[in-house]
Amino acid sequence: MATLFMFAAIGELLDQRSGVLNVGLEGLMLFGAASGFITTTLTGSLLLGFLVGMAVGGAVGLLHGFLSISLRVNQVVSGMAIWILAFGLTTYLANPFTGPLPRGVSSWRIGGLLSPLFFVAVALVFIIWFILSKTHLGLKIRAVGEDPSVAEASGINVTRTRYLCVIIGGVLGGLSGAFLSLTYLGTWSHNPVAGRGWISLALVFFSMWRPGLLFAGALIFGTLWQFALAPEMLLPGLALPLQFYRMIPFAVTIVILIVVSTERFRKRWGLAKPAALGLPYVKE
Amino acid sequence: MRLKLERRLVLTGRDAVKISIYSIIATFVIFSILLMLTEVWNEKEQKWERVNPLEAYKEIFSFAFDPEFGLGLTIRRGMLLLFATLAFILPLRAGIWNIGGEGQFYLGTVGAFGVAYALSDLPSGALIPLMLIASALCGAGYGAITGYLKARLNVNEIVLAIMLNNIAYWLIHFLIVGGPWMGTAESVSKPLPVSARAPMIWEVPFTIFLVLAISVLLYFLLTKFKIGYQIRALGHNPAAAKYAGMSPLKISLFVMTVGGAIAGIAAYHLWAGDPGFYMIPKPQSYQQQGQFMYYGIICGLICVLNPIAAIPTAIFISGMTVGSGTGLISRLGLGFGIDFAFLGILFLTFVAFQFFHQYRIVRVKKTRMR
Repeated sequence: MATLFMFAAIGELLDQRSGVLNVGLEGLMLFGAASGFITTTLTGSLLLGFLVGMAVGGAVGLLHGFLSISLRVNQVVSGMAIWILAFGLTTYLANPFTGPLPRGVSSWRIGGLLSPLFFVAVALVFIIWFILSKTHLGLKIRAVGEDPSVAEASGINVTRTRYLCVIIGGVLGGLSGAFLSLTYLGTWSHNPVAGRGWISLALVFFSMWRPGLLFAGALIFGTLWQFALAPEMLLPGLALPLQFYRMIPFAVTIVILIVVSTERFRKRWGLAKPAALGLPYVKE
Repeated sequence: MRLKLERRLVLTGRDAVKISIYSIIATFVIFSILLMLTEVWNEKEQKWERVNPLEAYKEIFSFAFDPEFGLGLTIRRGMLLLFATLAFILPLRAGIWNIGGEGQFYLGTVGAFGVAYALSDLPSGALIPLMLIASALCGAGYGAITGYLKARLNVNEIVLAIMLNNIAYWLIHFLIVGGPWMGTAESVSKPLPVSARAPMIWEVPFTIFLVLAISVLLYFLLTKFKIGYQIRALGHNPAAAKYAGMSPLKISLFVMTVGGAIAGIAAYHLWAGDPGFYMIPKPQSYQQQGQFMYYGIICGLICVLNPIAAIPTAIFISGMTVGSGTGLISRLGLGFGIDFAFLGILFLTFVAFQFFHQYRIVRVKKTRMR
C-alpha cells in the first residue's frame, strides 16, 4: 500500500516543485489502473499492463501539461477535469472487464506479501530527492517552481522543464494506478482508486515538498490504510463498527492538514513550498 | 489575411456564453467519435454493429425530453443538479472551491432521515419542513467546517472536502449496513414513513419551487446586496477585500454555510422526493447518487457562475445524462457508464475552451510595409 502512495506522491511532488499543481492525481491513477488492467486481461502479460498503464498516465500528464502550461487554464480546473474525465471514461470502458484478473497471471510478490516494486518505489524517492537537491536539473526545476520569469531570464526553458516534470509525474501516477489494479487489488470494480489519489495529493502537502518526509508519510499512511481495512489484525476484540476504521485515514489526513497549515508550522517548515505553485507562466 | 492570437482584456458575459456553447458543440463532436468506436450487439440481425452517432443523439434527445419516457426524470435530476450547481457557484464567487457537495449531501441525508425516523408520527405538514430544516442544517454545518478552516488557516479546501466526503460516505454506510437504520434485507435502509413523502406535481416533487426560488434569491443576493458585493470582491482580489475592511472569515463561513445548506436540501429532494427511493436500496447506490453532486462543478463552470443561467444548464446536462445513461443503455444496448463518459468529455472540452476566456483569435489583414 505504501508503494502505491509513494509512486503517486513522488510524481506529484516533482510536478509541484516545477510549479504545476495536478489535482487530477486521482484521475491519473484511475487511467493507469484501468488501462493496465484491460491490457493484462487481454494479453495475459503483467509487464505489458504496467507499461501501458505508465504510458497512458504519461499521456494524461501531457494533456494536463498542455491545458495548464500551453493553454494557461487554471490548474485546479484542469486537474478536476482530468479527474472527472478519468472517472467517466474508466467507468465506461473498463466496466466489461469487471472481475478478477485471468488465472495464470501471477502477481509479483516476495514472500507472498511484499512486491518488488516496493524497492523500486523506495529507490525512486531517493533518486528524485537526489535529482532535486544535488543536480543541475533539480536546480532548474526548483527555479522554475519558485519564479519562472527569473528562471527564464537566466536561460532556463520554463515550458520544457514544466512539461518534463508533468509527464514524469503522469507516468508515475499511471504506474501507481497499475500497481493498484494489477498487484494490490487484482480485480476491477467501479472506481477502485476510492480516494487514494487524493490522500497521495495530501501527502505532498504534508511532506512540505521534501522527498524524505514524503517517504515517511507514505509508510505511515500505507500502514494506516491497511489497518483501516483489517483492524482486527492489530486490535483483536475491539468492538467498533468497521466503517469507523475506514474513516481513519481520511480523518487523520484532515488533522495533519490542519496542523501543517497553522502559521507557526508554515513559517518554520513550509519554506520549500514552490512560490509559483499553481500559477500559469505567461511570457510577456 | 491571417489569424492572430490576441489577449483579452475584459471578458464580456456574451462572449463567455458563446464560448460555453462552442465547447458544448465540440463535445458533441468528440463524443460521437467515442460512439462510433463502440460496437453493440444487434438482436435482429445477430451481428455486432457500430453505433451511428446521429441515431444515438436522436435517441438521447427523444428519450430525455419525451414526457412518456424520460422527461420526468430529466426535470427531477435537473433540479438535483441545480441544487448541486448552486451549492458550488456561491462559494466559488468568493474564491472557494466547494468540492464537498457530496459530503454535504450525505450529511443532509442523515439529517432528513434522522428526523423522519425519530418523528414518524407527525403529519406531513410538520414533518416535511422539519426534514428540510434538518437536512439544511446538517449540510450547512459540514460546509462550515471547510469554510472556517479555509479562511482561518488557508487549508487546501479541495483535499479537505474530499476527505470529508469520504468520511460522510462511511457514516452513511455505517448507518445502513449494521447500524441503527438497517432495514429488513441486507444493506437496505428502513423505509421512510408515508408522511415524509414529498407532494408531487406531475412527476416532480414540490422542491422544484424551492430550488428555483433559491437560484433567483442567489442572483439578487449577488448583484443587489452588500454581502453579495463583498463575496464578489473577495473572489476577485482577496488582498484588496481584506484591505477594504471585509472579513474573509465571515464571508467564507457565510458562503460555505449557505452552499452546504443547499447541498443538504438536495438530499431531501432526491431521497424523499423521488418515488424510486423511499428507501435506499444499497449503500453503493448512495455513492453513485452522491456523485451527482460533482456534476454541479461542471454545470457551475459552464453557466459562468450565474445562478439564473444555471437553470437551463442543469436541465440540459440532466437531459444528456438521462438520455445517454438510461436511453442509450436501454435502447441501443450501450454499456454502463456512458453518461459519465459524456460528462468527462464535456468537462475536459470546456476546460480546453477556457483558453478563449483569456485569448481570442482575430483576423488581421496583411498590410504592405513601405
